[in-house]
Amino acid sequence: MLELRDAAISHQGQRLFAPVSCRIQPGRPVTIMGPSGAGKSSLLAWLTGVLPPGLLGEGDVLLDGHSILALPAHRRRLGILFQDDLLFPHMSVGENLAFGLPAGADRATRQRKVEEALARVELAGFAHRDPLTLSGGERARVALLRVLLSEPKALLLDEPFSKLDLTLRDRFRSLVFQSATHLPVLLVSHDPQDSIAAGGEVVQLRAIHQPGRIS
Amino acid sequence: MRARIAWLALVAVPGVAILAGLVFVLLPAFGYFPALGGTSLSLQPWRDLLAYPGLGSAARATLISALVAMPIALGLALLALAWIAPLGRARTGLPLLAAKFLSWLLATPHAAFALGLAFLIAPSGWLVRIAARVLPIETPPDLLVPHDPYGLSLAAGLVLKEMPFLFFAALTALNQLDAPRMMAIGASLGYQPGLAWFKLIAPRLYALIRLPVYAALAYSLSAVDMALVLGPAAPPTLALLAVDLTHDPDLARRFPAAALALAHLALTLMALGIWRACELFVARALRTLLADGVRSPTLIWRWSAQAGRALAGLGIVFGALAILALPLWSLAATWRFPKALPDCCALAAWQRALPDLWLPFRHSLSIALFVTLLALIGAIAWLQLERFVTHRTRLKGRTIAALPLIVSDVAFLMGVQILLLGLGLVGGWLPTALSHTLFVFPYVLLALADPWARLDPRYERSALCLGASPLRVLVSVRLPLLLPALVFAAALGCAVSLSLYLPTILMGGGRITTLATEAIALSSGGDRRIVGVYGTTLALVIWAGFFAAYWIARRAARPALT
Repeated sequence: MLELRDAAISHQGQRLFAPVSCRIQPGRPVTIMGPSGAGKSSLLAWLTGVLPPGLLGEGDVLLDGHSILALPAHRRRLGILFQDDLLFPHMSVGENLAFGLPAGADRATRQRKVEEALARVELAGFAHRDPLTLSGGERARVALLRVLLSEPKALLLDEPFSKLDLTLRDRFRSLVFQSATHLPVLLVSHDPQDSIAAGGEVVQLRAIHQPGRIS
Repeated sequence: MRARIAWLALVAVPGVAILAGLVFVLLPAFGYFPALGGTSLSLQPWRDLLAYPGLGSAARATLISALVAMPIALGLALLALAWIAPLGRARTGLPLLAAKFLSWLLATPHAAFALGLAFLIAPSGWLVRIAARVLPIETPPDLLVPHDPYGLSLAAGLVLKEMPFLFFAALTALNQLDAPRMMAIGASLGYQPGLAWFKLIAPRLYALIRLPVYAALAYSLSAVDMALVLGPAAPPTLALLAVDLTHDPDLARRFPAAALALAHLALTLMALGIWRACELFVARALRTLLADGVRSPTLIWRWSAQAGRALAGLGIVFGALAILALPLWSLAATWRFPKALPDCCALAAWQRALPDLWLPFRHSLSIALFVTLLALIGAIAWLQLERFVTHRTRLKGRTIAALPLIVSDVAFLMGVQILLLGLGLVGGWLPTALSHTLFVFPYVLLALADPWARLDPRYERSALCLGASPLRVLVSVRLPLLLPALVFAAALGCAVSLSLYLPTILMGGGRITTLATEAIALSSGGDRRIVGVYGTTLALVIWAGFFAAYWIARRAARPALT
């Protein structure tokens, strides 16, 4: 379970939004909604431990009952999907996936795991392809596989559907939620359709009015 | 159409110069050059050349020094970048300080740096003197440094000078890689930051800095000034041997000299070939490494990183002492052997050197200013016309502009020299300046290209819509907005020209002495104080240029250019 306790981000002493709390169980995704600029991406950056200097996080984040804030980014085991697929352009599709796989096992086994994963999302035989030659929908699926293969303990979604066109968006959205039923999933979005598809609790980020800022 | 032809004409200038140089080194290398009495093709120049003693060891020392230096310089540059600015911007504190030190090291001219390093590592040099404070050393040890026969002192000098060059090339390229998000993905997949950087950023970064890497490799093979000060003596490096032959008053010696220059070109191509083969090999090995899923550094990774850090620390100490050595010498009243510091301070050396300093100072400055102006105008025209050609053609053009940095300069400059000789012309100020332009132009072009492309095109579009002519848009919108980049490119151009040694020697006809050539020439004379004055003056002029650029750029910085 992933739990946020009074989480907030501030910039120069000013909170970007009122503190939020939520508990996220596997199979019951939580959506954090808010207009663009409300601090959604900063919140995720803070959760994953890559908050840019100048921004300050407060509150606590617990994964399976333990606070993860003291851990460095790479030990937090939070998988994340961004708006862009961010496949590594210097690796093939298969290498991108193998990069996500935990170390160990011989090459043949790793390769087999990659092939099986690709087959699950109707991309069998794509291992040797250059990510650049894939369509947007295919790339999105590879990015999803990569994060799932890394065996995260929770999945964070940073508007990963917003750049896909409408028909693809629905299919990819249901694929994501179906393949992550065993994980706590936290979605941030400004699209109400996303929260409906996620089906779980919705947390509204309320921007704090800042003097001199047009709201 | 007219714009494209004008652009092609600009591209043709460096292309034709190099081609002409290579043709007129190729012909005499095979005995044909009527103006010098060679009327038929023959292999005689090669026979003369092969009879030359020590040719093999000269080639060996040249190749070893370059091929030892380059991987170390590249490795240290990447390691330093991973520590100083993994995401493209220097961190604060110690890393920022290190970045500043590297920019000083980069801005120190090769000749001055080599002279400082030579004093540092010589048997009677600074390191031994410092060691003498704790160890019972009374006479200089009997060591063959810096002129060791394998060219390892030269390699050390090349590492220290090329490492900051590659560092800043990589730092500039890092902006194109979306490094923050790539590193965030790496972390969310569980990768330790240092390892993530070397798996996700470094391979792509290398692909972007391949041209500077090749240029550094080619430079390492033909660095005549550094080879004179740090390289093996008898026989010297191949490039130095070729230059020595051109000083021979017997014009018939130009034929074996041309053959040697051609051999240097072959050696350069061979070294680039070896490097390319290693690239492919490493790329293959890397493929398995990237996909192995290992998330935290293994023992070997950690050890190599530690070794690299130790080497980098040593490099910082050596680099800093080498930079300090020359100014200190120039102010020394006396500095007898085992003393670690001179009897400070006397302006006697400066007073003695000043009358003779004026002429090379004037030459250096007049050439640098003229060449930089020419290169700036050329680069602005080039970039302005580039928008009329496709992206691929653009890249080809830029590669041609960079050719003087990659092709053996020994070979094509000697060809140009022989051509001048055949035309009955002698070297002098103008040939020197024009040859400098070939080397300054690519630096100025590359320094301007990135800011040029990043300027928001809407500024120009709105000016055009207000009815301004394209020329007026360039002069009153684009150039003022790019002022910081322009002054920086100018300072860089001046620095490159002031540091150049080989073109001045080959094109000056013996009548052009610059601060760089005089500092090197005096270094064999033995008075380290006078050498200190020349080297310090050279470095001061270059540093002053960068300071002026920095000052102007800061005053002119506008929010539009972030």
